[in-house]
Amino acid sequence: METHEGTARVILARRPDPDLNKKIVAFTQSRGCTAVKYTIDPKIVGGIIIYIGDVIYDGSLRSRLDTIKRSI
Amino acid sequence: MIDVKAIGKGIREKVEAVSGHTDERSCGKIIYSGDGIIHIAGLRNVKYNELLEIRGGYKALALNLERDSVGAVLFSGEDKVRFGDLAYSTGKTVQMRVGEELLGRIVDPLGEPLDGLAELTSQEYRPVEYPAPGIMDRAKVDQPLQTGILAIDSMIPIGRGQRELIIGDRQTGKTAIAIDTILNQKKEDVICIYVSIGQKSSSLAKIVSTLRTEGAMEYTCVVSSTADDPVPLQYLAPYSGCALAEYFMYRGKDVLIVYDDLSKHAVAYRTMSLLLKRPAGREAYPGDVFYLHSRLLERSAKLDAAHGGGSITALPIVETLAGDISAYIPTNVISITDGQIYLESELFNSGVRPAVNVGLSVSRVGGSAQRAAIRQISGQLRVNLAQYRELAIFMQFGSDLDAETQKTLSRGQKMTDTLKQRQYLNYSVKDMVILLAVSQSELVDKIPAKKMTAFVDGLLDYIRVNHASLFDEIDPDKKLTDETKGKIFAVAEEYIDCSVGEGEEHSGRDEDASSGQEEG
Repeated sequence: METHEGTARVILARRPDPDLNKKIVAFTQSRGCTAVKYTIDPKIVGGIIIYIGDVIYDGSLRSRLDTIKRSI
Repeated sequence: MIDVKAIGKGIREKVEAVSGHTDERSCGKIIYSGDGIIHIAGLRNVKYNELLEIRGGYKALALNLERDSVGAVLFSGEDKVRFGDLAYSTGKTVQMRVGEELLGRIVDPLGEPLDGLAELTSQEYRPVEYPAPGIMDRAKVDQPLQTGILAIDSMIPIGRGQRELIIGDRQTGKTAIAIDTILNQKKEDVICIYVSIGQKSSSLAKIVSTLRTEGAMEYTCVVSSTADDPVPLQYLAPYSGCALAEYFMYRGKDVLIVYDDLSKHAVAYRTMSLLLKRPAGREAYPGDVFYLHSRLLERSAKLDAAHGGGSITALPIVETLAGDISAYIPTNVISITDGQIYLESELFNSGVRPAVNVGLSVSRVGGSAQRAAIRQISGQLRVNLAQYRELAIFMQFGSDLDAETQKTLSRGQKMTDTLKQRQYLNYSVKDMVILLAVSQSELVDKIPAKKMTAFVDGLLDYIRVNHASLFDEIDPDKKLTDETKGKIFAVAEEYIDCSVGEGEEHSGRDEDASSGQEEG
């Protein structure tokens, strides 16, 4: 994994505004991260994906669309 | 007409069910994929036998937990999974869909329907791997499971909760015995599960159509993994079938499960093990191939009354090569099961069908489950047949025979003829009592050697038409009284007189038997 210990990798569809940035930092710090690395990937359509170590928080629109596609 | 509104509603429901939640899951990346095996790096907290999900909805089973990676086998998407794809842990082991509605259906080892009929709605699942019932939960095997096959029910009786191996070369009628047994459960309130492991799709289609036409699908579920299915599904199939059987057993039902066949199951497991780079042992099977089958077959049991009294009777099938029962898998499964039915191609080709080798076949627990009447009259059968065979081999050297020896030989031959039985022709217990009583009596001396088969075919019909009350007098759970026996012999003698006639000049003419029937 590229993410080393202590760094959270965050994937967003667009650049985060300061308000969102604050929320993300608070969220990652509460899970023991000291740094946040952003990646902008329009392919996730919307929402957010956060990797901390081997745990993934997947709140992207893409994965939800995929789930819907599979269930229909 | 397709109801567009209903479809729209269904889609909306599904979309609503999906939106809103954010998953928090452990995930790793696929660093190797090939031959249906994947290695995943970075996945922590994975348990052995855990179900993994690959992005795209494919499923895999974690089998090797190593220091740097997890080795898993793919159930689907072998050609779709890419290097670098994410794999998630699910925290669940593999589950099999269970429920009454699976009866009459053909499903894959994960409980998804394969028969194109209605979607399954049951949301009840059972883990595919489940511990076998403990010693205290079990009761003695004391109820018979009638196969409807004379040779088996008389000499190799099977009890409910027993595990009886059917073993033999290819094309010796192993599956036929299992199918006949399923067909015979029609009036017995036994649920049947047929597990196909790595079978040809054409053979499975034939079996299913037989079950359908004979009306056996109502109480049968087919768990199918054919030869072209991914190997992990073939590996999983018997455990899934067993999970379904357990569902019924723990509800107090009697279940018959057929594993067809475990040699292909061992081969599937060997494939997986070798690809996962586990050390190979004898015949290249991995070290735990014994445990593979023992943990499966241990799950067959007869539960005591406190646990509902249900049972799982297992009929595993093992194919031998050139009659070699001392190969690895056959010896393993023989030692696990409570007996075996050994089929021989030599017997099969010489017209003895079912081709059961009575000498090598045993049932270790079924004897106590046999119906009283059958036990009483078949007690001497095995010994008599053994004597006959010994004598028959000796007589091949050719010499003049005294009358006594000739009689033993001819009776043995007639006994063997009686045990021949057409496929899909099942005898009831009462039929068996009559056939066993008559064929072991002195009456058979009156029947010409070549007419024995026709006699057996005709006798039961004759009694059904002309002496139906005789059936009422036979109580299979009580010893046969001399009076009933006398009546059976009298009726048989009557039939011999009118069908066979006096001399040998009629022998060889098949219509004789039937014409005799009509006159009587």
